[in-house]
Amino acid sequence: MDTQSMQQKEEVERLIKTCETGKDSVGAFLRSMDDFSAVVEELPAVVRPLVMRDLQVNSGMSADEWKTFLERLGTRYGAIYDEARRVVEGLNEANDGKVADATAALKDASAPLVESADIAADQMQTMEGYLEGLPAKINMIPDSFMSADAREGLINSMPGYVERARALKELLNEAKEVLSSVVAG
Amino acid sequence: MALEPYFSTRVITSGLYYRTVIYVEDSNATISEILANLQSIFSGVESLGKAVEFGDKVAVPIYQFNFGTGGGGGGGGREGQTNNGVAFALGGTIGPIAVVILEKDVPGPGGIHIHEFKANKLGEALAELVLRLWDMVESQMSGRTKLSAEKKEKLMNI
Repeated sequence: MDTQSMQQKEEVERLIKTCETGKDSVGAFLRSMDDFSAVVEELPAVVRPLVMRDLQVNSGMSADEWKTFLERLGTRYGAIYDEARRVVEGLNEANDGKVADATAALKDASAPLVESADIAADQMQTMEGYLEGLPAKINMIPDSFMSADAREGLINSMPGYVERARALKELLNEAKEVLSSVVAG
Repeated sequence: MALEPYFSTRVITSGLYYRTVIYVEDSNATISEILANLQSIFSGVESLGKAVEFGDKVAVPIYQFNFGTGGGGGGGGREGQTNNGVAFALGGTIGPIAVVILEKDVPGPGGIHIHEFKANKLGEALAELVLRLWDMVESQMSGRTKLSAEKKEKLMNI
């Protein structure tokens, strides 16, 4: 394998690793959102729509929209991962034709992510900020509106949310950077 | 300015009575305009009471309607003559059930306080009403995060 192919392989392997981490991180965040939704479902009828509405107004998307976006993102990481693996296989086999085909397929699979990575990263940044302020906001809700136990349960239902949102944002930036290099190369 | 009314009727059966909550859609009007229009729209209905502004807070009392209807009919009379009687009656009571306090400078649920005067099963309906009021208040604030339809479309198809 020549130096150029070695360098290409390193970049694609970095992309594969980013996509693997991305899929895992998306899955973890989706589970967190499901847990949060389950806790919200148990809240009093007066509070339930307010919490969901607060998420929508302050994060820019409803819980269902977040779920759709994250599922799409996970699927996108998976598609890029599959094509990147094919590129590596072609490089290992020194099969230029397979490398060219797989690289073209990788370009197609990654186009939506490259195009929307900045918007998605901004959105994750918004979510991170929202989640950071959420415990304090929940604690502001008066007892007559939501019991102390319910407030505590809601806050405790989201450990590590901020870090997961931040990780997803950083992975989006990384994926865009690596993809630019791999697809351009 | 005109405020388009958006009527939604939630009927919670309680014996022969119906409880109705009516609310209005959001608008870009200022709070005072919205409240003025609310008063106008509901002047004949009075599901929302007169809003009182004091400093950075607005208090809006909420009333509950209990409607009862009754009807009756009669037939018969002397031979060869029509003699039908029909009666219809509408009765109801109105009572305050809660007051919503909106803090203009506090975004999110922390800025909304509901004080119910008695326990009742209107929680869900009240929540919907509060959401509308919340929209009105938040439309006056800059804290709302807006995502353009174009960006949202891209995220949904990423």
